[in-house]
Order: sequence, then structure tokens, then C-alpha cells
Amino acid sequence: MSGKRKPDLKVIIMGDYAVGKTSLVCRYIEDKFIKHEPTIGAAFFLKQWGPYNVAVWDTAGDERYTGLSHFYCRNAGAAILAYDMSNPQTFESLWARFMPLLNSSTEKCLKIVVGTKMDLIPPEERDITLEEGRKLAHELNEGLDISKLACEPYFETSSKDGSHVSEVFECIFQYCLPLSGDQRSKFGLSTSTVDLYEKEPKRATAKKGCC
Amino acid sequence: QKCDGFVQPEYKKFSIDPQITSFEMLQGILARAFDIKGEFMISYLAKDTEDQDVYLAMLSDWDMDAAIQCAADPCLRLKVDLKPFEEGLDDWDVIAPTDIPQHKVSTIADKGSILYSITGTISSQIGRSVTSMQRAMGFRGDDDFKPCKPPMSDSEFHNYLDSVGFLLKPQEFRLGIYQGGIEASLRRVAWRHLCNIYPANMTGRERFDYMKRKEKEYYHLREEWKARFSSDTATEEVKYVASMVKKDVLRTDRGHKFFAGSDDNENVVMLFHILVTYALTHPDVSYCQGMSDIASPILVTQKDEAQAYLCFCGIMKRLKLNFMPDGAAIMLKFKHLGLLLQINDPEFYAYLQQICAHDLFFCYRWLLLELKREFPFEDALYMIEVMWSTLPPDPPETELELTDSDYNVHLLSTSPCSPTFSFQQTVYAKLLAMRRLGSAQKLVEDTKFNGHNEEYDASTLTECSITVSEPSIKDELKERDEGLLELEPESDQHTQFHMSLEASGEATPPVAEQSTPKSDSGGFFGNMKRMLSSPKPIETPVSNSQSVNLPSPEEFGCGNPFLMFLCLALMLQHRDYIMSNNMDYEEVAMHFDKMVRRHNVHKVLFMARQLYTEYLRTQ
Repeated sequence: MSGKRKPDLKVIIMGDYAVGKTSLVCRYIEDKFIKHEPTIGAAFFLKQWGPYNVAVWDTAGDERYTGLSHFYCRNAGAAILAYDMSNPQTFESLWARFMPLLNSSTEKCLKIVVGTKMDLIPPEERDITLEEGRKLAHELNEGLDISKLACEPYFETSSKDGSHVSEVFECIFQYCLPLSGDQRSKFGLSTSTVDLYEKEPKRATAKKGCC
Repeated sequence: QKCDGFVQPEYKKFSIDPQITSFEMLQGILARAFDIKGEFMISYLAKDTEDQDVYLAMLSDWDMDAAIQCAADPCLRLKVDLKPFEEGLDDWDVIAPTDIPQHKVSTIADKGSILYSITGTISSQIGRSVTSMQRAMGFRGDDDFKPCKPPMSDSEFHNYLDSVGFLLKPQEFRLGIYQGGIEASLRRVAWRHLCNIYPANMTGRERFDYMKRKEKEYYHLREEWKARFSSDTATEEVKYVASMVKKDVLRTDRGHKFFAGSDDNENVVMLFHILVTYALTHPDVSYCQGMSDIASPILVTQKDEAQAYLCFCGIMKRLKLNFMPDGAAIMLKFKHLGLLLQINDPEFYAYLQQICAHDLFFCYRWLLLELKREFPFEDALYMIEVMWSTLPPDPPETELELTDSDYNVHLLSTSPCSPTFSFQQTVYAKLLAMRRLGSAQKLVEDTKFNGHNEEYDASTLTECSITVSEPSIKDELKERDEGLLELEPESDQHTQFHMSLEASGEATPPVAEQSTPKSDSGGFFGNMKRMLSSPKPIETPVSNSQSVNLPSPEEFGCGNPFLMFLCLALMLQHRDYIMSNNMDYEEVAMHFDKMVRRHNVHKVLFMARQLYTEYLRTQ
């Protein structure tokens, strides 16, 4: 019980109710997909990443809790803004509800936009295009140097089948908690997750880093 | 060891390496070994101070360390208990003890008492060490915390009724529940009284007729919105509320047998109906996450949609303040809880201050849901009824209102019926359109949602929860806000109730025999204090002069003072652990997050009753 350290990074997850915020964290941390009860206030997870401790704050989505989300944003190094790809309104919420919160309290905070429930929506039926998603992600990070970011700050995921979930977190950790190649191999971390993501034909044209 | 009611216990033996096994892994191993699908509790065998065998709860890695270090055998013995389901399978109401002899309809065969527990033993080949056991939370067995009074039974309940079912002693009735809860089979009937759905002075027959009439009224209200769905004339707002409720009921207490199984489980559908009907007939409150947690235990207990709706309305009369967008009631509760902690345990309060956690925001779920999620489901029912029993009776004057006064059925199919979601709808729609036209950035600049204060205090929460810029709505919210802080003018009634609670003890049949009260403040609470007093006083006794500074019972905790003491008890039971581990804000929050459904209801109520008694004494 002794010798524990304070978290080196705080990641906060925000987004409308029932977009799958808790499911995203649980898929990443526990690698399982189960039904979660509605989060009230916030839920907290700790993750060891290499030599670092990361605290993940999973917040409630209900609009009436926005006030608390604002409080939970304090000192966040990165924010995941999640929306449900099968429900375009949740995408607009990011922009209407959460952007103002983040701008005020966390200028240096890396913002990653994450579409969830990709498995629910056939590509031809999607309302929010990949470009729209990326555009929002870049707008959110204005004023932040994301040239060192190894990937686009935008992901489309499915917590149900696990697609691109760990990539989200890897991308954040690599940016906020840089590790040398030696350190990575020492802690048994893969060095290729981002590359795997880039190999997908759909995203083959994606530019690395900031536009 | 696995026992399943009448089935033989099952034993299994394992080896684990304490160096590499975490508590979570252990849970996983046990779940696989005994093929357990649901929730279960682990306890471990240890010796108490008198060298008696006791099973202590194992809830964390830390408990597991303690268990391993104190293992009395060369192996560690663990017991695994599935949380039992109480299927109160009774569908009945007390009309009158005499006039209708057998109004008792058992809908399902009586298998309700099957307590299935799986008890298991694991061994791990570890060396003995008895060192750090002293740190464990105490050696008292659970039994020491159990209330002295048995849960209220049917026959005890009849003591409070006269021959035509008139509830003669509403306060003694509550006192009886406060002391020991209610038997599962009586809950259905007793909760209706605690939920304040009946006007005062009704006979059993009148209550029965009243229920029938109100049930019809409910089904009528439900039909009003359902009809608009079938004819596809429901407004976007109505559909939005329904979709939001649906998402939540599909993930509320699904681990409980009552709501388990497929998504079209009829009980899940009932919960959906209740919440949508409430949201649409109460446009000011509408639906908000957390309400499904409030309604769920009520439905599980009532087992009938309409009756559960009535109870839910009764409870929401008080609780809707928690769900108001202005957040004022919740902020006031945070403030009161902080004050209480500061007075009771200045050391712990100072510690929280040091880690910037004295805002107590980690207690948010506790306050919002009145601790419903903090205990295993069946224990939560017990905690809820004890807490409700401390609230003054608040019967409707003529009859229970099933809708808000400004509910207008025509709004379901014509125009928006709630400022909250109509605002959201229109603004999102507007934003979406403008954004696609590329001029949206300006709109955001214009509306700029007030949420920019770095400093966090009550006013900020209020400000930034109101994502409304139209002055009219904002003013209205502000008015409500102001009204809130000066609590409803029912203080006379409240005070009287609390005082009579104090005075009524001697007349109460179920109270244990009287010994001489040591002062005039004795009476019921004198008895109760003796009844509940522990050999070792709780670590930081309240000094009377200080707790005088607490708000009066009718104000404290926005009219639910006992909740404050329950929350205090939860914190006090973990304060040593938190401080000795030098936890920071995140860790404290995470620690309590992990305790969801794991607190020991008897320990918490035991302590809360003590603290509450002490408080009432000074008021």
C-alpha cells in the first residue's frame, strides 16, 4: 500500500447521456463490453501506462450535470469528447455544450473527439462525416500545438467489438506522456498501434499531425 | 463452499499467489469456480478480540492483504455469499383487519424465502502472520450492528390501525420502522404510507377505493401520451424524453431478478411507463438521469405500475428539488454536509481541505439518489424505509396530485412543454443548421453559455447549469432558486413532528422496557440511545454546543436531516483508511466509487442513528 504515486495524467471523458462513455473506458481498461447503469456524478479509473499512472474520469452525460463536469475538468491533461455516431444530435452537443466548458478551464488540454457505436451505423447512413468529425477535433484544439500528435485527434470506435478503442488512449498517452522506444519495449508496450490504425484503407490518406 | 438454499454447500480449494493476485482477480477466480453470474460478497474468516471466529467483509485489495496476513489456518478461508433475492410475492393491502378477512392473493407460489447463498472456501498456501490485522475495521461481527428491534411485522403494523383500518398513530408507526425496518412482506403496504400518497384520516376501505380511482387516473394519463405515439402526433420533445428514459431503464438495476432478462421484460416496460408519464406530466422537472434509480426500488416493492406511480409522485414531491436544473437544493445539501463534517470530525475535514476535497463533490451520487446505489439492493430498501420514517408525515390535503398544476395535455402534440428540453431542441437544431452553413461560430460567441468561471462555488454551478440565455427563462429559474433557499413554510409541522418523535417513545408499544430516563430529554431517544449504544463510543463524539450550530431539522439537508447523518456515517467509516493511505482527491472519489453497493447497511445505520439522536438532543 505504500509508495504509491499521484497520477501523472488526468483524462476526462465527456459527452451526452448514453453515448457510451463508460463502455469506452471499460472496454479499454477491462477489455469487456457490459451494460452499465447511468453514471451519476463521475466514475474513476486508474490505468498504469508504462511508468506512468493515469486517472480516467468518466462523467455523467445528463445535461443537468454540466456544472459538475466543469468542475471535473480541472487539471485535465486530455479530454475525450464522445458522441454516438448513430445519433447526430450528440455530435452537436459536443460543440454546443462541452466546447465552452473546455475552452474556459483547460486551454492546454488535448481534446480528442471520439465517435462511438460505429457498429450500429452502416457507413452509408451516417450523418456526421469523417471530415466533419476531424474538423471539430481540430477546432477544439486550436491554440494547442498538436504537431507532435501521432494521429488525427478524431477516432471512430465501437466498444462492442473493440474497434479503435485502445488507439484513442494510446494516442493520448503518447502525446501527453512521451516514452522513448526503449521505455516502450521495457514496459512491453506495443509500438505499432497507431500504425495499425493508419493501415486501414479508408484512412490511408489521413495526414499525420496537425493540418 | 456453496450452499443453495437446501442444496449441500460446495467447497473448493485453490492456491493463489498473494504476491500477484489482486482482489479483482480473486473475484474473477471465485466467480468462475462457483459459476456465479450476479453480484456476490466475499468475507474471510478471522479471529475477533475474544478469539472467536468471525467473517469479515472483503471489499478491496487492502482487505485482502489484511485477510492474508491474519489467516488463522495455514490456509485462508473465504465465504462467498450471493446477495439473496427477497421476492415479496404478496399482492395485498390492508383494507381493515376485520372486515375483509382474506384479501391476500399470492400471485406466485411462496418461494420468496429461498435465501440462496453460496459459501465457498479457498485455501491459499501462505504463511501466517497476525501483524496488521489490528488495522482492520474492527472486530465486531455484523450482528453487533443489527437493530435490537425486529423488522415491523404485519401484526405490529395492525397495532397502529384501528378496527376499520384507520392509521391511528402515524408517528409511532414511523418510529417502529426507524428502529428496525419493515418485513419484506409488509413493505408494499407500509411504503405507501411512507410515500405520503394517502390523505390523512382514511379508513382501510376508503384507501382501497381511493387507490382504485387514482390507478384509473394514472392509466388515463399514460394513455394520453401513448395515444400520441400510436398516431404519430407526439412532438419531438415527447419523443426525446421517451428515448432518454428508454436508454436509462434498459440499464437500471438489470442485475436484479425483477428487471433481469431481455429488454422487453414487462417490469422494465413498467418502469419506462412510470418515468415517461411523470416526465411529461411534470414539465418543470421532466426526466433527468437518476430518476430511474429512485423509481426502481418503488416498483420492485409495489410490483404494480399504477401503484408505483403514485408512490413515485409522493416521493418526487420532496425529491424533485434534487433534479432541478438550477442545482440549488443539491448545493445546499453539500453545504450542510460540509458543516456537519466540520463539526463532527474537524481532523478529517482539515484533511479533505488539504487535498481540496472539502467541497465533498465525491458525495454527489449519495445526495442525488439518497444513497440508493451505495448498498446492495435489498439493503438499500431497508435503508430507504428507515430514512423515510424519519421524515414528518406529509399527506396530501385532499388527494395526491398526479400531474403538475401547469400540465396541459395539448402540449404533448402541439408545442414544447418543457423549457428545458424545448430549449435544447431548438438550439441544437439551430446550431446544426447554422454550423452546416458555416456561420455557427458566431452564434456560440453570442450565446456563450455563462460557464466560464474558473473558480468553483455554488453560484457557478447554478450559473453554468443554466444553459439558457433567454432572459424570461433565466428569471424564472432565478425566482425558483430564491424560493428554494427559503424552504417551504411548513416548519411548524416539521418541528412538531420532530418534537413528538422525541416525546412519543414511552407510549410506543414496541420499544424495549423502560428504565429510568436520565433526563427530561430522555423519552424515546433516551431509550434508543441505550438500545443502540456501543461499548466503545464513536471516535469523535459530538459536542452539544457545536451541533447547536447546525440548521434545525426542518432545514437541515433540505428537510431530510437523517440523510446528512447517513452520509456522515459513510465518511467516518472510511476516514481512517483514507487518511492513513494519504489519498488524494481522485483516490478518495475512486475509493467511494468502488464502494457502490458494498457498504454495510447495519454498520452505517447503527452509526447514523447514534449521530442523529445526538443531533436531535441538541435541537
